[in-house]
Amino acid sequence: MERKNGLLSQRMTRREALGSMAAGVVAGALGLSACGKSKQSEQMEDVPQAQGKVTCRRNPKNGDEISLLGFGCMRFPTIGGDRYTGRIDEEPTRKMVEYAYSCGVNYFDTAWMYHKGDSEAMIGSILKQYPRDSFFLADKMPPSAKTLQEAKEIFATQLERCGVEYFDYYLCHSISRQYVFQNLYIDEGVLDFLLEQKRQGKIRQLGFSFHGDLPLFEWLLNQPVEWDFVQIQMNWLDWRDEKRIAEELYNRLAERKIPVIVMEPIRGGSLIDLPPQVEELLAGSDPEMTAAEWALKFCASYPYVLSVLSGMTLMEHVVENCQTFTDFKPLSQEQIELLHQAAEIYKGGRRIDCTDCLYCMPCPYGVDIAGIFRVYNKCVADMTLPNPKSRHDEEYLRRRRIFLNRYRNNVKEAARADHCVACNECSPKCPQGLMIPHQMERIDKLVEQVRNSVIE
Amino acid sequence: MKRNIFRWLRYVVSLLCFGLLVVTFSDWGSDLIEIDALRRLGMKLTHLQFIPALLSVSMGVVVGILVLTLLFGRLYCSTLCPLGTLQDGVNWARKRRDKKSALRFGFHKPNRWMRYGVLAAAVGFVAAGIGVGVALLDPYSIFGRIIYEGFRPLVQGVNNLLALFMGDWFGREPITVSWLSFAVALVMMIIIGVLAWLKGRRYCTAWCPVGTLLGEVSRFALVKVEINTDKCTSCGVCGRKCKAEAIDTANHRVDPTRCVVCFDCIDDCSQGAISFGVGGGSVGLKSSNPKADDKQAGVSRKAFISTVAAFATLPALQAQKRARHAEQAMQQGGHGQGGHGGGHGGGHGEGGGSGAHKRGPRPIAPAGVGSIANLQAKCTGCNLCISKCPTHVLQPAVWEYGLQGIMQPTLKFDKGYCLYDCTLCGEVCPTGAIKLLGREQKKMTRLGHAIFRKDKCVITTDNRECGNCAEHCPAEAIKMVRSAVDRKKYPQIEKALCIGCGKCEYLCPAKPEKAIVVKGFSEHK
Repeated sequence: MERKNGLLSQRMTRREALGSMAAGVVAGALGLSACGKSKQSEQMEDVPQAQGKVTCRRNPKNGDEISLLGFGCMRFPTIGGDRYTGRIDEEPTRKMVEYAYSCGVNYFDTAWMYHKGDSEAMIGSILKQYPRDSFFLADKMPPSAKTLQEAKEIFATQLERCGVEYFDYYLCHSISRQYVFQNLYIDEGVLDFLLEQKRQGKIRQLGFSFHGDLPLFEWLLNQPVEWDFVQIQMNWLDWRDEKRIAEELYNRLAERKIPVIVMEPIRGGSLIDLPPQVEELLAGSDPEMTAAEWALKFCASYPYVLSVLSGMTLMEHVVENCQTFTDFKPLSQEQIELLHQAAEIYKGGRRIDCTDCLYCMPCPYGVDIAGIFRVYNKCVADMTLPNPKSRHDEEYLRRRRIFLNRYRNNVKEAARADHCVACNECSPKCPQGLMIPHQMERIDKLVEQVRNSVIE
Repeated sequence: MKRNIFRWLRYVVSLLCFGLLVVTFSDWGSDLIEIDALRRLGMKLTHLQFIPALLSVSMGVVVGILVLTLLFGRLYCSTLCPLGTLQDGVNWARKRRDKKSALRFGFHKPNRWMRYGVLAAAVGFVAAGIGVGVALLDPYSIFGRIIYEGFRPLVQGVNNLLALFMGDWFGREPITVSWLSFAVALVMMIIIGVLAWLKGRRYCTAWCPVGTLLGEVSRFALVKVEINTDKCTSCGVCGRKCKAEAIDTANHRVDPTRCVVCFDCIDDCSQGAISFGVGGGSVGLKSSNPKADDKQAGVSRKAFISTVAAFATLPALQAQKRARHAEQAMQQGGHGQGGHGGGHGGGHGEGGGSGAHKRGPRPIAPAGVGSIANLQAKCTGCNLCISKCPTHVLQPAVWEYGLQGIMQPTLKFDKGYCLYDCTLCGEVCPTGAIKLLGREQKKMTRLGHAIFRKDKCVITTDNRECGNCAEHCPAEAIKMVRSAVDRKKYPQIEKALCIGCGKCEYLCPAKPEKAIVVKGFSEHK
């Protein structure tokens, strides 16, 4: 995420002033963290003033006025490691959420497994200070639950962790295979349990988040349940993707007039690191719009989208995203067409569709799956992936050095692709359906060829 | 301060040699193609070092150095020898700190017993093929270890810091320090550093076997530093400033065996009485103190003749030894593979080694050594191959080879594995301990063989079919074969194909002990 931020700040043009302000806030937050929460007045000075309110959309099902920007609680800042190994860095998280709330962001999306369960408690404790009816909290039933009893316990724990009496929005998390839904929600009766909770008022709106194919999607929509909303992965790169088919999913929902919550609008940051040709193409339409803005506005330009979730890690992200959705105007038809073209160019590279969600972790053999994909994709994005079969000219040597250095610097020796034993523990957990062991083997071969290519 | 042209030349040549060798040994930026030419030059320089040249029987270089010495005295010591330059650096630092310290030296009689004793020991070690003994005496190897163990970690630290901020341009390096090699290097560094700080080139004039040998040859040098007694006012400044303590100002004489031909004294003399020229001051002075000179010359002449004779016979001795080893290898070849480690070690009289062999996996020597005995005879532990190894699988041995092999390179598969295509260690080795193999030859050189331990494998412990060893084996010596007994797939090793590169061991996921380990051969096949 830091990397994403670095690129963001490089591209700031119109928002330069805003960016520097955000940087000040981050620095201030660090300085203040020692003072504690009691110094309310100082803290107030510290958080930037909201620059207006984020545009809201009305949920046709129940009239909720939901902010177009939703706060995703999967990528909070951490200390002592990444999201998997570290823990949430409380102070900056609190400041970010408070700032977002002050800008009118009122949809907060957490889940059982985010930050190993700390995300729920964190967001709950921050939102406690606000009136319960001034925000909408979304939580999810994890796919790891196996029995009704377990699901009941999880639900009770979730309410307790978040410190709330009810969830505004509740989802069946990450449905990617029919048998999982069949086993847990139908055969075990968890769906009935959730509907019962809805009747009791502990869930206001029930939906599911989806990572599967079109037949499964239709099968789910045809279940004898009234889905209040559905959360899908949607962004300009996946819109016409063969596998993710975001366009198809959206159209199915629009036909049924089911509100859409968008996840992965910038694909875990990968729509920030754009290849130079894509950047040029987009700059031709609006040179001042940042990559994040393009990605978020794309999603929000579709009318059935209720909220676009962004997992924000830095205050800078929050400030920029809030600004993006203040007085929101949809993209023009031409601009959307341009993004479709951009997607074609982008996919010309051979990037791996990892969104850095870390659902695959932990690897039993310690392979840093997401870290390896991150290095690979970064090299694809900035055109530095070396091709060992090409002529060993200067350009090749430059790419070789960058690729190997990134690999060496970002992936620990014992966590590299050559340590994958193809046990395939990971692939079924991957919402993007990646054949991870296959990719690991491919990357390992590439690394080896590239490394050996200059040894004479 | 005025400086004569010889002195300037010495500065340029010595600093160039020193700098290149530091770059070579600290091995910074091994991925930077741009400084490849520099590194190659540095590697060439290592082949110009006296003892490595002697060990690798590069008679051209040895004769060249001897001829250079016969012409100009110990010029080698003040230009080519990096350890000499290092000491000059320490001496220079001291002079910068305290101007008066420049005058701290004074002539004294050479400690002949120590000098010839050390020289005799060195000759003995080379003749007997005790590499570790040579390693402790050879100035080049001492320098190599000081830079590799002492300086390189600092370079890597800076490199890693840069990698933190400029990750695309710098790659993080694992900082590995082998405690024994580090300790030896540290002790040497302290001894030589302190000696240089206090006594200038005392190490070179009292201990260094190369210095002693070249010193003896210098007696007959054509061109020497000489004092013109007509101009000399006997002020004694040159003697007090000579870092080699070789100027006997009382007798207007420069001891050629200790003078390292630094040309400093020529500038130090305010009267211009010291010059570098044909003739030789010592010849002219002979009459002034004939007895002492005769005596000294008598002793040294004997020593000189015997040492030269000894060195001359060394290559012959070594050739003989090699022939003997080859014979042994032939004899053992038939049953060698099946035999256990102790038997192998015993054949070469490795007292400490055989004990180590029985305990754990047998040590693995880099491809190109031929046999561990050859490595032990020729390796002076300069660490050059270790600093060049791209996967860091080469590490200085502690006790793996036994006492005779400490600080010599061994493959440690917890650090990496031997790249199939790589022959770098043989390319850089200046002593001929690791011979350069052709790439195809290297791919067929068997350093050892892998042994599968079923009880440690993840198929036994976790019931998981892994096959990582088979997938990565570059020699395709491992196959996954389904057992008829339990229908599970186990790796099967084709011993004749296994070259012992250790990739399987490095990548084996079994914890805490690897399920596949490589045992080394004493004689490579």
